[in-house]
Amino acid sequence: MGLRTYVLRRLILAIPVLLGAVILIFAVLQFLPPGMRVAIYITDPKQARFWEQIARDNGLFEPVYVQFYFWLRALLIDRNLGIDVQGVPVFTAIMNRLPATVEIVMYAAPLIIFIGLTLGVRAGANKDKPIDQASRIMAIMGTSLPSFWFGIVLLSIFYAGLGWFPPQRYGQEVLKYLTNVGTPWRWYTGLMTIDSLLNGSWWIFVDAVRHLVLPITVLSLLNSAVMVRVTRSSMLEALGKDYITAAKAKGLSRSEVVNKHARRNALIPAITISGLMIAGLLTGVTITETVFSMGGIGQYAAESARALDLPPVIGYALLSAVLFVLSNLIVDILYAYIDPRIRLG
Amino acid sequence: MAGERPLGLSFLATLELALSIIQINIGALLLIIGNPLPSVFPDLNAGLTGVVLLIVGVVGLLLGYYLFVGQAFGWIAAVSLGVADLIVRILLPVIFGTSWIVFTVFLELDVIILYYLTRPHATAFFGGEDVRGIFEKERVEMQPRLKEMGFTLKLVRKSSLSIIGAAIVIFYVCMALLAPVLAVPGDISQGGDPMMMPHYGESLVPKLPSADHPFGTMQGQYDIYYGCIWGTRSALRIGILVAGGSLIIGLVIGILAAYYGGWMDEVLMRLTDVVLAFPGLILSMALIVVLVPVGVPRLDAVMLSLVIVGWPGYARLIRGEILRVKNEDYVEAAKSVGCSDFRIIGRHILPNSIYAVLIVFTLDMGTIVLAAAALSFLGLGASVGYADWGQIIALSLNWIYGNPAAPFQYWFTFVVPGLFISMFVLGWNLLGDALRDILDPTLRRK
Repeated sequence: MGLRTYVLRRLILAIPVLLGAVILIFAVLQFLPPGMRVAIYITDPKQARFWEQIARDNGLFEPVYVQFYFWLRALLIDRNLGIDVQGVPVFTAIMNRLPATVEIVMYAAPLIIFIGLTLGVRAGANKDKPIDQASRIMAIMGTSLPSFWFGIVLLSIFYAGLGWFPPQRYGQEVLKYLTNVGTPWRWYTGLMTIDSLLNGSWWIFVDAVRHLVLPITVLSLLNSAVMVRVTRSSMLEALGKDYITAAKAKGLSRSEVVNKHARRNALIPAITISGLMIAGLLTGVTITETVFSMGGIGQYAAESARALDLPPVIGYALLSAVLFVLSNLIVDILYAYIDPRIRLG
Repeated sequence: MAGERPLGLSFLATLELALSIIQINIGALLLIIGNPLPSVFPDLNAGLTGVVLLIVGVVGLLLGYYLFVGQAFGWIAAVSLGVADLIVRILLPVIFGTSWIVFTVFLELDVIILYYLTRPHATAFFGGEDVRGIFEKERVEMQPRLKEMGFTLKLVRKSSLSIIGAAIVIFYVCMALLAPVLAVPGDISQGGDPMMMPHYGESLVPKLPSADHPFGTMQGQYDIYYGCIWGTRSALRIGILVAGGSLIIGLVIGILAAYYGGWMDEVLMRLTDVVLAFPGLILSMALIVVLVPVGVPRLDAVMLSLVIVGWPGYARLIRGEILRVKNEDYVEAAKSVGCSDFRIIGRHILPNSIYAVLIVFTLDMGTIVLAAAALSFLGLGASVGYADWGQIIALSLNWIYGNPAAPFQYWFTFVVPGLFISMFVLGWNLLGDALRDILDPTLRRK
């Protein structure tokens, strides 16, 4: 079986899972009476009086499978996720807030992989040395500290105490500058760090970085703990293999044995963990954005959930399921690409 | 020889068995009918105490069995315990006036255990054979198991992490049980429910720690000390109920999928795939938002959603473990002798895969409490004023800045409850990690 067949097979396997996820959400929604479910079809608060007519038009009184057809059609073709309390369509609201989330994840994910792999490899190669103990403390912190509490403590020290890294996405001056009509500012990507450089405004770039430091720290420190542990244990396992003894026996230096023979094999299992990291990031973003009021989709979903506003939460759940399944797919393909035993075995 | 065992040991074993049977009974009683004597024990948390007693009772039963296996009058002890148990069952309704349902609570469980413990001895006795021969045989059969138990105890003593973890967990359990003594509930400001934190005034500004309020008060003048102590109860309750619920569902589904295989395996595993396609916390958020408007109480909605998110992990773990064990020679042997499916699963497969489940269960206690705290923090937990660590931190969110002159003025509102959560989770994590090193057959001999 070649790589292409493997990729194709994994793709086909992912479709029923995605469909199942959509059906699960639909099934959960069935607990609600039609009067509540009709909310996603009401695009204007003024229509609320005629909800029964709207519900009938959209098949909410039909048998379940007909309802599912209507719901799925609205979801896929019209991208209709309903409207939130403010009357904004959820799809638009999510799209508007996406850049804020992408900006955090974009920097946190590579950082997590970097910290996880380097620290894990070094901890495994130096078992019970100071660096291994440091990795152990980090793993304990990552699994035992509530991420929201860690964020609050950091905010208290670095914002309330030292005034270095403020919460929210922009400072007051930047916000005033951006909302000003005559400002020579153009949005290219929606990401503050990149757009400020493209616009050539250094002071906005500095402001954006100051606002990003704490959320990224919280996300990457706590999420890389799992990766450190996995890399460490697979490094230990690799170091116990016969080919390492053989490499040592033929007189290779320690660094060559560790870096060339052990590390390459130890990194393979660590890749599977990247899928878990995505779930950790999606969850982490929800909490971190709420702590630091970053205005991304996670905070949007959390605030809607607190107000029991259903459509944004459902939209966010569907979006995160799609992202999670797709990223797991990519991880699996990457895994097969790197390790021939998977696709050939 | 059987008769050479010290009398004290037999006595101890009998006492252990008697106590554990009583514990199981009281536990079941508390779980099913709630607090039997509200006037005598006004602060008794029936659900939590019931679960604890059940667990303690089952453990004690096993211990007692191991202790007295091999001594000649063991089965007589067991039978008289059964009789004593019946008497307790009759006395409870007669003396305390509780419902006669108590009489039947877990009666079958006792009967099964007693039957299982005494069957070979009884058969021999009534068949006119020499019972001592059976005990001698059992003693010899027990030798390797006792040796392994001794080795496990040695590993426990050597691993300092397991002792620290267990100490932290026991500390929290004691704190939960002693909550009415450590933080005496008032009655005016709480509406009679000790789980609601008492509050002293309506002022929003938190007050510094003082003699009356050792950890200070938070927004709304809720006493932080009280909330932290009683929050231990809600944490333990959420942890045990959610992990237990997920475990039971996962156990049933995992066994069905692995043992019967075929289309059932396919369907059930695709179901777990679908639930696992969502990041857990986000799916439970969505579930809570649906469950609360339908009329499910908030705390129940949190626990229910965490169970729905949690069971697939157990189902997969148990399925994998069973598949691993299923093709071992001893299972094939049991099959070829004609053992029933139920017996093979219960007697040969589960005991060999239960360690992995136990480890994950322990680690899960911490994870679940973290998830519940995060949900509370997002404003999806119990109603305002309920003693819950996550909520205390959520209420402190407005006070992390203090004022320019004293930036850390209100540090106590979030540092103290955060430490309570972190230590709780740390304890279970250390215990779980240590259990893995001690119990996992592939690691323990390393």
